Amino acid sequence: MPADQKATWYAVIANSDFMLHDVQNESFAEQLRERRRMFGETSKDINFFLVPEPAWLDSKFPNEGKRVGRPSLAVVSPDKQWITFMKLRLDRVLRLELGEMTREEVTKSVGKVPEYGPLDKSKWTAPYSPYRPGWWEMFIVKDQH
Amino acid sequence: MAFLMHGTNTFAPCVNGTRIPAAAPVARRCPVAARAAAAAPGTVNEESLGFKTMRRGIKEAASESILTPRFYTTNFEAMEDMFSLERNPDLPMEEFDAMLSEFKTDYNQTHFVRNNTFKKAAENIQGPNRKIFIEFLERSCTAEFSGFLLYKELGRRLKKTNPVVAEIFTMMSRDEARHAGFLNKAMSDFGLALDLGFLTKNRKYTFFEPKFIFYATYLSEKIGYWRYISIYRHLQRNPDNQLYPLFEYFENWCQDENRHGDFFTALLKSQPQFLDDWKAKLWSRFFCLSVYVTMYLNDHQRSSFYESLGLDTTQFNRHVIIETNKTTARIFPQVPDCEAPIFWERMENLINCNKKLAAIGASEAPAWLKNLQRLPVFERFAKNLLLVFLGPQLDIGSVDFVPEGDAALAF
Repeated sequence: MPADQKATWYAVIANSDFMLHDVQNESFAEQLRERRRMFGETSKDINFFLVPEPAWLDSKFPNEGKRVGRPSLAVVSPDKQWITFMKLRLDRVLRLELGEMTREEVTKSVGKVPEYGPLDKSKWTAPYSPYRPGWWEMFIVKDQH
Repeated sequence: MAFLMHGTNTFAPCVNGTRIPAAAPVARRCPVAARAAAAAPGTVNEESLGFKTMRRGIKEAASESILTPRFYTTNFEAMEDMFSLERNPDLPMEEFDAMLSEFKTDYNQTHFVRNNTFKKAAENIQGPNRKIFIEFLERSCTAEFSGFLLYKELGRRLKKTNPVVAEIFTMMSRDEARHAGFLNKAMSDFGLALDLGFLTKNRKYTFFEPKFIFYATYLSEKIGYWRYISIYRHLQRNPDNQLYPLFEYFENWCQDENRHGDFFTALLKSQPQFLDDWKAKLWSRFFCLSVYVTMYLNDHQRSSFYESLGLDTTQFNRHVIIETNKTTARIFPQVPDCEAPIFWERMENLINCNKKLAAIGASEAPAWLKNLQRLPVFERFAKNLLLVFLGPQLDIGSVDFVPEGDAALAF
């Protein structure tokens, strides 16, 4: 989809710690990689992105914005059903219908993903190491800052 | 789940094949029923490991015990009514439609293709490891196949009253057939496959009411995800422990389990009566603990298997239980507090009782003395089990069930 073409976009949004810095949600990384792989295999254009501190949150959704912990992180896609599914999976996220927007508008950030150090080892119960911070970079549209 | 009581056997008419015509032909077509090639010359005789065979290369299924994976059946008429769009025109379908689209995407359509490293790896697993490997494969295969049978039948039964929910069940049975077939081929690498057609007809089916099916299958799918991903990620970091290529498939594989669990989340959300009262809380907690205790005891009885993969059984189990519990807290109205130290103390007591019982069983003492010795251990076991069930708990659930306008709710 060209970056300036309008479409109806949907999002789930929550604080960035929940989405990216929580043992429980590491499956989020697996899911996004799996979907990216499948889009590659079927030659489909990627239509889902991560948006740290999306510009539309405070400008279009001031009330909802107050309920979201900061810094925030959104998952956006014009695929309504997939966003519904992501809400079902993640549960502790706010689901929003963003309305007609271009890809450029929807992925515009006013902040960045915080610098995450390693997860707290005293709380780490897993027999493996966490995913390396930064795995999310490939899902963020880069030319928006 | 296997920890739970037997119910009435209303499945009897279904297992003679007349009420599940779909299962038999499908089983023949799909990889599930793939018969094992006879053991390759030069491999050890599997009967020498103490396994009974039905015929050459076909393993007799392990005898059922309170801790073995079960086959389930349910009240299909009640399920038909519950999801009937005619009877419940307001049934929320949005999440079901989303799930169906996710299943149709079929992320793992081409994933379960074997390579030529399996056979050789199986030949290299010898000694005591070989037996526990085969047991692991059999338990996993039986559990996946059990899902296949139940989902397949639900897909068939709900077709008329709710085609969307029916199709989801059918697609989940597709996934389970792939998983079970893949595991059964792995068993044939060890010279011992299961005759799944025979199992379908001859194994006992445990009856669960629909709501118990929802709690139990939700948990078994989600705990399956956490088990597989934990093994996968551990082995990725420790390739020397990668004894058998099966585990390399777990990363994609367990995403199926996770999605199946999400579907049961949607089912439960569509039936708020299973989430919103004290009975729902009690059953939620009860099912959580039954699944966790069963796994903890089971895995500790077979700790040598996890050790052969380089895992510490206790660490692995605690991690899987803690994370499964956190996942479950996103939908069940109440879960046990698995991070309370007292919880693990009591779980440890259960393990110790179990070990004592095994030691008494293996001793040379006469039967009457063994029974006498067992009594105080049973008592201690029962007491600790009760304490686990009465232990600290957390009231929780989906944020969608929090009354609107709760200002404290932040994301």
